[in-house]
Amino acid sequence: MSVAAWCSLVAIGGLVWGGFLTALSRAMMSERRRDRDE
Amino acid sequence: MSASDRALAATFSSRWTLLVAALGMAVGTGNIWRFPRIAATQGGGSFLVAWVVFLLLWSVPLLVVELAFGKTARRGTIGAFARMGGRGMAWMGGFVAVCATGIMFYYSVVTGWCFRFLLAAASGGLAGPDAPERLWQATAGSPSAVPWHLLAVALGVAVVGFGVRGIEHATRVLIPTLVVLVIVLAVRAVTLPGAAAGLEFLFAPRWEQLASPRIWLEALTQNAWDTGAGWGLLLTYAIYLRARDDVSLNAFVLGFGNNSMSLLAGIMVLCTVFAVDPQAEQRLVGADNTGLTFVWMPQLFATLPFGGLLMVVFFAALSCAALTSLIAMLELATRVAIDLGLERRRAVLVVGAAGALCGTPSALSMDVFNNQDWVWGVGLILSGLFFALAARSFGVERLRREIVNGPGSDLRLGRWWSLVIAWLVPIEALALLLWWLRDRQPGWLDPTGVFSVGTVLVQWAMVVAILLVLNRWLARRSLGPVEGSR
Repeated sequence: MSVAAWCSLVAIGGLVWGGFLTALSRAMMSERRRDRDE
Repeated sequence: MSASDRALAATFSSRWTLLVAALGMAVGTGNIWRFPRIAATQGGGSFLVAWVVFLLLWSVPLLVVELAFGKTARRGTIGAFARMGGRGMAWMGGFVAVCATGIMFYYSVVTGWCFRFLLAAASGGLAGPDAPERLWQATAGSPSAVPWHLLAVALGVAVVGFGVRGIEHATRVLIPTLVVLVIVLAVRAVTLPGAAAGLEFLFAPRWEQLASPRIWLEALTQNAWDTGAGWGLLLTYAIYLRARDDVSLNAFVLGFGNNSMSLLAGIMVLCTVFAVDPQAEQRLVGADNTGLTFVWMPQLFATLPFGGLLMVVFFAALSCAALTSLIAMLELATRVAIDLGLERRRAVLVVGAAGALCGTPSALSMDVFNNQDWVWGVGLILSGLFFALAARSFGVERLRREIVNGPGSDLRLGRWWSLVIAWLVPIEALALLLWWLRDRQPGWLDPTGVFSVGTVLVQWAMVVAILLVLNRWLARRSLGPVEGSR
């Protein structure tokens, strides 16, 4: 695989998968906090 | 059942079940059979850049609008448009509903094909080089597809008949199963000898292609298809949000989660293709959606170790993805019927009967199937535009301040979101529609053509004319009192 393809994989994969996992973990943490507060 | 019990029964029991159900709505066969092919034919890495841009400038902003509309209006698309945009906009909500229901009519046929191929894969019916092609010829556009289409509708109706609880139970099993199956297949695909060529093909950017408007238009269309933004499906699920539930962060989870699955599916399909045929580039560019999935993938799996098992896993994943999206489409139409005055059980039976009846022509004829796919697929762009117009009518800044960033918000959106919804989404939609109208092939105005502009305009005009005549009645019926149990 070329360097450009690796860079693209890391950038796009990082953004999409990283964005998903970050948003999901933030949502779950917020939900746990809200459950605890209630 | 007390009033509070009924209210509880009409909401998702947790944020997790909401997200799983919404992912089930968004992740469909479009992720597994459409995305890899479009990415392959539109320049790989360059297309992915445009695809990510439109995730942020089309899909996520519109998903936010859908969640905000559903959570606030607590009605299906017609009632939500009448409530949020004004009574004069009920017909736009009607168009969104007709568009998604028109897709549902043939989507049940696709779901039926998935079931048929799953059974064939499990029973060894896809063994042999010509078997997938023979089965495809015997199934697509033939009477033998009808029972499978009816089975798909019946399964969907059975789930939707139980309301939000039925949707929760079904998606809680199907979506984690789908995710695990796609990850297993993607991992297997990247470990195949020669798979790196597939990754190179998918990710290597060809920067000069970013100057082509076609890549951007395909990326926007794929995003509209992929995430379900502007379909009204998420609006329908948002009716069942709890008062404390967030809007904006859920939209990000859904948009990014859906595109994560697409990326995995792209890796899974293209690595497998290049592992089997290193010279696959020419075949890929010429392949159509259905060929890549139903005919070509079994042939590829047949050449791999444990190919029979992988084939079963692949069609199981495809069946899960198709069924969960079909459930969301059935629920959208059911919810509109409930708002118009039907009790849920009767509404779901009416929608199921309509789906069985109106989907049958698409099961029997590929011309009808392709025509409906074309007419209502393009209609999704108009649906997205209508959402932006209704948000403008409500007041985009007001929507952002009072609802999106209001009580329960986990992620406060800035003014960028208002600008995207008020200006960018309408410009994107109009640019796409004008570009499409400019592409005048011979016979482009023929209303009987399968893929003509004329067939789209005539069918849209008929639907819009009927909805405009009925607008006042639709608004009055849909804005009636809403009972939690309905």
